[in-house]
Amino acid sequence: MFDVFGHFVDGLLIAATPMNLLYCLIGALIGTLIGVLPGLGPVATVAMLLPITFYLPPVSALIMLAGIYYGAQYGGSTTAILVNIPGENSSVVTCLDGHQMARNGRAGPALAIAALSSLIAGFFATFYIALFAPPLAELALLFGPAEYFSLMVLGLIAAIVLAQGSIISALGMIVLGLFLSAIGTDVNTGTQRMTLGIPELSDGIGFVPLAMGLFAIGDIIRNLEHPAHRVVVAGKIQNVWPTRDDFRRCVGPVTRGTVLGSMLGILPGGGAMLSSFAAYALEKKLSKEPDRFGRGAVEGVAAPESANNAGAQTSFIPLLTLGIPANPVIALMAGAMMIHGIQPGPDVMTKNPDLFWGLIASMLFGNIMLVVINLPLIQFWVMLLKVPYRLFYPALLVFCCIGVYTLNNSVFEVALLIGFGLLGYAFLKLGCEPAPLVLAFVLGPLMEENLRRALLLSRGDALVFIREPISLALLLLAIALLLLILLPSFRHARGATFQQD
Amino acid sequence: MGTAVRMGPGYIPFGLSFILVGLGILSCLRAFVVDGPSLEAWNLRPPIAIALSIAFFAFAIERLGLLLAIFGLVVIGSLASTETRRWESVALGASLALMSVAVFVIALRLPMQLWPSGWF
Repeated sequence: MFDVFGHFVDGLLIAATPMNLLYCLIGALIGTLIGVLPGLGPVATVAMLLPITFYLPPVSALIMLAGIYYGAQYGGSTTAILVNIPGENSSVVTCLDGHQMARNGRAGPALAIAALSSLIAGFFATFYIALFAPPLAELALLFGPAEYFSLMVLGLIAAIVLAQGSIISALGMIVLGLFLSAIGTDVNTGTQRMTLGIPELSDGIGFVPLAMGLFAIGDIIRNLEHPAHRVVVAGKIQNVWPTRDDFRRCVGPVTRGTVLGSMLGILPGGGAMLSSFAAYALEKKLSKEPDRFGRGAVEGVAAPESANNAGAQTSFIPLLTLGIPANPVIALMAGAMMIHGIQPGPDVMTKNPDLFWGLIASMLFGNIMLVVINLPLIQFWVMLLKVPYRLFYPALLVFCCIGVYTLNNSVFEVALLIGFGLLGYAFLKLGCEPAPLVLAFVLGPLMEENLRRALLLSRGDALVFIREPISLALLLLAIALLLLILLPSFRHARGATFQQD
Repeated sequence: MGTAVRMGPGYIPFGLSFILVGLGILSCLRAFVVDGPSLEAWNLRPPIAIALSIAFFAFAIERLGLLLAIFGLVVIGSLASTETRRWESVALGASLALMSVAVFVIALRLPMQLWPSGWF
């Protein structure tokens, strides 16, 4: 316990160095920016910024990327409240009541409640990670290859729960991701695998062109296909401060939203979006006056906003302790860590304590910065909403191209970017979500290694995965999850959740 | 290929491709049973323009230099949107080219060629 406290103070000192504070601020600013702008989410942004992190020390890079992720949760609510378009997937439910509040002339208090709920949740989630992550990492150190393999199977199955559309397609995306990750030189024998004799492929497909193509370029093409015209409803925003009645109403929702978000964030496949939907549904159920929801209830803003921020932060726990990314943004951060030669997993805490504790502690600073960035500067962000997409996407293209090219000075990777961009667009068009593919691509090499090692140790006996108790439990959990998705009632609920999208 | 104990390099990709084929067949069969939502119409303009613009960048970056590569990327890429105005995309291309030089070459000091090779 005191140990954790001491480490946390160390982390605060690392995060408080001027350079790390600067990158935290940059991350928070970019996060708010992309959160505000509809059509550009944290996944695409983190994918675009991956090449830049190469030039930074790993701690600063991750502090910045993390700031983008939870910063986007703050910014997303601004667009949701003022324009009734979710700037971010996780603020879809904030539209319902937040925009109604804005229509009733209460845009200011709605924005303030959203920011303050996020701040409280962010603080709580930070301490939650600090207390919860170390024991989990110690547990993970006991894992052998069989357990690890089963854990990754569970993580991938869980990713399907969140994927939209057909389950078969989602499974197919996972297998395709694993397959793509197998391209390159085989670790054990040094043989070239499926490189088609192309020398650039001997190191495997680059993570950056893959992620950037699927998420950033695919998204750009998709957005161009459906030009959306945005209309900012609220003009000047006055009296930001909420009333005493608002505060009184929000205490319960914020507390419950934070706890719920923190719990859902840890689940593989969880994160900000799931948390906000669940928190809104919970408040509506618990409320004595459920009719008020959808008509500008302040609780309907407080609960999802606290939950999505808590969920965004706690979804770092599985990455830092087990090495399993819970959602695509976290998968990209796993990619960023690997670019720096750090293998995400239980070893991060012991081998790179600076990184581990510095990252966690930076979230405290980041959340404070975000409230400052968001409330007083709100007019500035509203102004940005008026920049038309046609002026805005070419800049993204430039950023992607230069980023991919400079990473290895490789024209081949730019060509890969085109391929994956078109692929990403086709996937979106056909209702296959690229997120499971990217998760599988990140986990693929680890899975193969652990599978081979486990089978080598057991002399080719595949039953080893069932004989080890932890491994068996994890596999059973994965099967249970798969059955749950197939159940008609759950399937219906899953469909309904995404219907509001 | 190898056995489960001593896996050759092809063991796992081979298995994976079988699973993928199986899922593909399942997906096809399901299409006969379940009526899914009808497919959206394909609008080929954005994907073609974006792909061409990046292809131009890939072609130009080591031959024509950064400035022209970015300019071409933006002008071709702008064709993807139906709302683009001609003078606007030229101005945007020029300013983004200058900005990229300022950010990536001057500020971040990335070694990149600015002009077509053989000019300076």
